Amino acid sequence: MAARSAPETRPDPDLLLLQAEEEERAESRGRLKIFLGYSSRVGKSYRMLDEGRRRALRGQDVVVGAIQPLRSPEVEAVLAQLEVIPMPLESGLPVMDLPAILRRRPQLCLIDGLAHSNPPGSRCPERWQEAETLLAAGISVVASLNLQFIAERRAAVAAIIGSARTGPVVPESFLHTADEIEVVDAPPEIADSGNLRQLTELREIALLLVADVVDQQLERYLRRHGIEPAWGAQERILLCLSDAPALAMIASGRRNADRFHGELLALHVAPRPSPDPAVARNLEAARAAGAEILSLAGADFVAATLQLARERGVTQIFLGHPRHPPRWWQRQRWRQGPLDRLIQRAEGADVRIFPVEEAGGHARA
Amino acid sequence: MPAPKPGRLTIFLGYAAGVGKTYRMLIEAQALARARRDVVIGYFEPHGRTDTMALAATLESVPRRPIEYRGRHFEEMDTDAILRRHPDVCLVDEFAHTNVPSSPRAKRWEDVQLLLAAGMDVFTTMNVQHLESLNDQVWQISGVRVRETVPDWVVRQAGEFVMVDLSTRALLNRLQRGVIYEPGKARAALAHFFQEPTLVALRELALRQTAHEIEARQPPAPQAELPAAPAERVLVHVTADPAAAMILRRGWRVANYLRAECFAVHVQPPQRAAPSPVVERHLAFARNLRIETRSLPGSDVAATLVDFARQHAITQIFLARPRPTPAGRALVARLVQLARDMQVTIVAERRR
Repeated sequence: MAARSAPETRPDPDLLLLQAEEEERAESRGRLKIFLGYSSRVGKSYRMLDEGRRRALRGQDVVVGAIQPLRSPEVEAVLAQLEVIPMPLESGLPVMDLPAILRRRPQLCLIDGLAHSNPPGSRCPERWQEAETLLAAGISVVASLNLQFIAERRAAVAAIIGSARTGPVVPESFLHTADEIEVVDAPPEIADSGNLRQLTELREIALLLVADVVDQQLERYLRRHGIEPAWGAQERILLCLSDAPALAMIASGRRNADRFHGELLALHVAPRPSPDPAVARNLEAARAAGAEILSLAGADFVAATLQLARERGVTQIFLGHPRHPPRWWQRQRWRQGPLDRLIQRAEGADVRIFPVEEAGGHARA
Repeated sequence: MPAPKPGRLTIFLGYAAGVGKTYRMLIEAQALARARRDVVIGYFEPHGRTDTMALAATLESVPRRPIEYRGRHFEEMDTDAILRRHPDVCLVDEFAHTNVPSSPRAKRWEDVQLLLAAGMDVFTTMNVQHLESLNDQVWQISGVRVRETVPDWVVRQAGEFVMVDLSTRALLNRLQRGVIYEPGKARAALAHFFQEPTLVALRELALRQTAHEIEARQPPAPQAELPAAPAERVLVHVTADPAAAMILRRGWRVANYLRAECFAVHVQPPQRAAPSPVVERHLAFARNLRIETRSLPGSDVAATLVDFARQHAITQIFLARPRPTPAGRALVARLVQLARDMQVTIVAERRR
């Protein structure tokens, strides 16, 4: 989403509280930056170490807390320019020496391979939790992470590579606590010898995941500064549902949202909660299609729809053809009709009018 | 002599000056040079950045061509010299660049087409805001109307896309340290493109565009798991309205995402022999986007559009928002009434 300056700023107590909390946390906590790659050998470790090297040159106190055992010559060359906290062996495996890092108290600690489980019996089972400890102690962290080890993405990754991965995971919520995230992108040919199609799909997920994180950061930024979101980078489709059959329109909304990698919302506006089973059927179908369902009480469909569209940064409004369209010479009726008002007043959102459907109607994209 | 196999184009995509596109391109080129491929710099814009210049110095460069224009000195890429040198891989910075008038070709991407046709692989750099179909969106995000654009069909020819990502915080730090521009220019940049929400939105746009570009290059799945979506065909109504370019870009973009064919259709009153110069310009713009154009005679605009749509199995019609006049409203009202079996999209104006 992009920014639009608010004409007037209104002091919102929740907003002020949020601001105060964020500022307080930001003061005492270290900063987290994550380099996300879609596979091994796309260059995550190199980017992370190179960032550490450049910050050290600018005078920051930087150490390497953890580094993967398999390293390219390029990685070795950068590593040689940095201070490494030795990794002791536990059950024969190298682990990050958290107490030593805390004693050493650098400004910045580099952690390669954020998804890593320590041997059973270790004080901290997962490496990302150790990173959290460092952050809480005021030490900044720059880490590398492979998309395939994000807990919430496991199912999608398994569906692509055709087998379930086991082993360590990092919760996606930890990614959202990062102050910065960067995608490490590279064409699959030079990345890995795996199946090209699979790698391309993983690559796409990584790009879109970072786009989503960036989008949320932007939303937070705009909220903090009291700026209303405007038409932006992500497509958001709003389905306007009534009691008219709309299965084809809902299916099309889903397909369009998928193609654009956008969000799908469904709205029903009525003066009071409606017990109409036809409305309930439509809302249920939209829910099943993965739409976020919104019901608004209001007598003015156009005003309620446009307000929601503005608030949520909607880029496309989908609705059905009027069931009883005015004859074309009856211009007066058209002018007063809701469709004309919606078209005339929709700012930044296209209005897409769908064919009239029979009950259980057929779909078209 | 048979024409050589065309070279492969790789685009390093970023979202602003200073994110490291050129640096990354040079790093990848060095790796190729180490693997004993014949790599040459065709055009490189140092912008006074020392680390990038040090990298570039390790590779062979083809000298630029000096041009005098209106008493001033300019330098452009020397395409003829590169063609004579004929390396395996040629590096060409700033794909969207407009050449000085009197150059053999107006745009650098046209020079690159020659290099590719001669069988060279080309690495190039561009920012997402230079993509033609995103022009309105970028204007809305940044307030800047980007003049140097690259048509989408040219970008689509690229065999590979690489997103050069950098967090906006890191970019702003670089700007403040004077890495990207000298201080005076940096202050001007901060006032325009380089505002944080603008940069964040452009970055998001670049990430989504890269995902879309690599998806578009993905060959169809061996066995389709889902029933194929019905084939889509999009019609964009072209008029003399200044919003026509915006409607065309939007229609093209939606068609592109839906993998739909796209037509641009103008309806002209039968008493007119040819479209007006303004309409002709809009149709030329559509052809530049590689949209098929038609000019149909007809006194009833809505009926003519819908007839054409039926004959060509159109599923979606794109229109500009009508002016709030009786005639403007009547067109939409009548179209909505006639095209009850199609989707009708009224494209909103994008404002800042």
